[in-house]
Amino acid sequence: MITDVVIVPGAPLLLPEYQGRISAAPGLIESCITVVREAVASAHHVVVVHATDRDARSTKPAVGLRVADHLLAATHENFDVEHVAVAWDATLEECVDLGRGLEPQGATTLLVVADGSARRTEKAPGHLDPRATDIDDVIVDAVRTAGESGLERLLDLDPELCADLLVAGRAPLQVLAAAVGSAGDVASADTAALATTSADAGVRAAAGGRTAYRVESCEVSDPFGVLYVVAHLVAT
Amino acid sequence: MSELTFRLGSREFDARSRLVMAIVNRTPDSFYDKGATWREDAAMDRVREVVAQGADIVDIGGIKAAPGVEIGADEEKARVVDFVAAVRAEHPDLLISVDTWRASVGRAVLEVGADILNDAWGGADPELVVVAAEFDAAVVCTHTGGVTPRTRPHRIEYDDVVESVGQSLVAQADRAVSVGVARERIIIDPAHDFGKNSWHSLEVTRRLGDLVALDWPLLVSLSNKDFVGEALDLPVGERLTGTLAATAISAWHGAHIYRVHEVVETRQVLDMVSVISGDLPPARTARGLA
Repeated sequence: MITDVVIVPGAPLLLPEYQGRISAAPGLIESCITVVREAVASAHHVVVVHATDRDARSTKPAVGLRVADHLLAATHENFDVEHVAVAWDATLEECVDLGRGLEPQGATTLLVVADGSARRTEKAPGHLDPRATDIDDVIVDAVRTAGESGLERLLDLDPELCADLLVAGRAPLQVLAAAVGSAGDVASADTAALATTSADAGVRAAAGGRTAYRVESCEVSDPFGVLYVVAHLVAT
Repeated sequence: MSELTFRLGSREFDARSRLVMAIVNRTPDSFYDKGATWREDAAMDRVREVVAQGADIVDIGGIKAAPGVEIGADEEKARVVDFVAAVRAEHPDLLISVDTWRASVGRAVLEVGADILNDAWGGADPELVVVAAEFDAAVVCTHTGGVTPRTRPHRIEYDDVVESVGQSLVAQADRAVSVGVARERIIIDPAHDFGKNSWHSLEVTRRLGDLVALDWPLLVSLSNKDFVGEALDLPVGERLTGTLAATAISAWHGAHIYRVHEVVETRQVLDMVSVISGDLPPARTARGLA
């Protein structure tokens, strides 16, 4: 089962090849390494969920994958790693399928590389969009209320709006929501509706088998106008 | 990348090092500051200021380079020895250089804690390097074309100034080694404007890579000099931009030590060159990476 969920930003500035003499985001990399280390200490099998790069112009692996591998390497633990790439613009049903299809092996850490909007301030990479804070609030609230099935609210995120608002983590977060949600009656869901209505009963069919998670830690910051969430959720 | 390493005081540096040597004059008449740090307390304030600005080395001098009133060894000692001792007491880890050609002055300042003898007149006193060897001090060998200390060059010509500079500097460095100065404590300085007209100094700057290739740590003293002024037709006081351009070119060629009046500006130029060349990571990067 997925015993631990870790959420970290997919910012390139976390990568060693982009380190200056002074950290651009003091404490951020340390926080990420701390939560990963805590999670893998108890759950050695790791499934990394990252999005493909939206604007890939090189042959390098996706930034999210590289960030995850860097954090995992920094913990110096023994663990198996499985990488799950989700297209940055995957539909909700694609995300749900991916999440439901994950097969945890024993105690598993789900390491989700995901950011909120990059349009939170005038100096943000995508400049200011006033809608950014609302959508980021949905993400943060969902994580903070993981203990009360809050993660399911991630399925409410609208792919098109998220794309507009440069929410790079939308697809991985929806994979997460599906992975830790119930094994309920998704097959009967009207998948066409899933992408457009948050109230869809199929996705929300959460009968019985859902694992409950408590929030071990959740740090939120946006030093560059991009929402960063560093969180560790533990199955109860 | 060269394997070059050099030592100043107890510190070790490599080919990527770009160090700032701040000029501190204990003179009433130097060309640039015109005696601003003649008084001991003013000179000590200047040391504090350049240390705070990031200077790696201070170069203390008691006699201006240009012709002027003759200053004997006793007067030179009176100007610098106690001052060096005071700087050493206040700044235990600061690298202290003294600009002197006299062995007797060199001995006196090394006894009170100086690390480097800056022999700005190209071995005019052959005993200076012997004193440096005795104290395991560093020494700066300079090219002056063999002129008498405190004289201006007049109608000097070279077949190939860079070759002459290189031969002179290697000969002086070899002699310093032969009298016992540690190889990694020997610095060479082509000495812009010393024994040179502006054409010579410009060619030395243009071809500085030939001197870097000699594989000794290389010092350049460019700050506000006449070759900058003549290049731009600007008087003393308006030569900072030109000095910094020459500094950047010298840094790109690989010079290691920069003897300067303006520490803050020089430090920024050197750091910028180091960052561009890849010898130093940028300070802090987030652009496009958040």
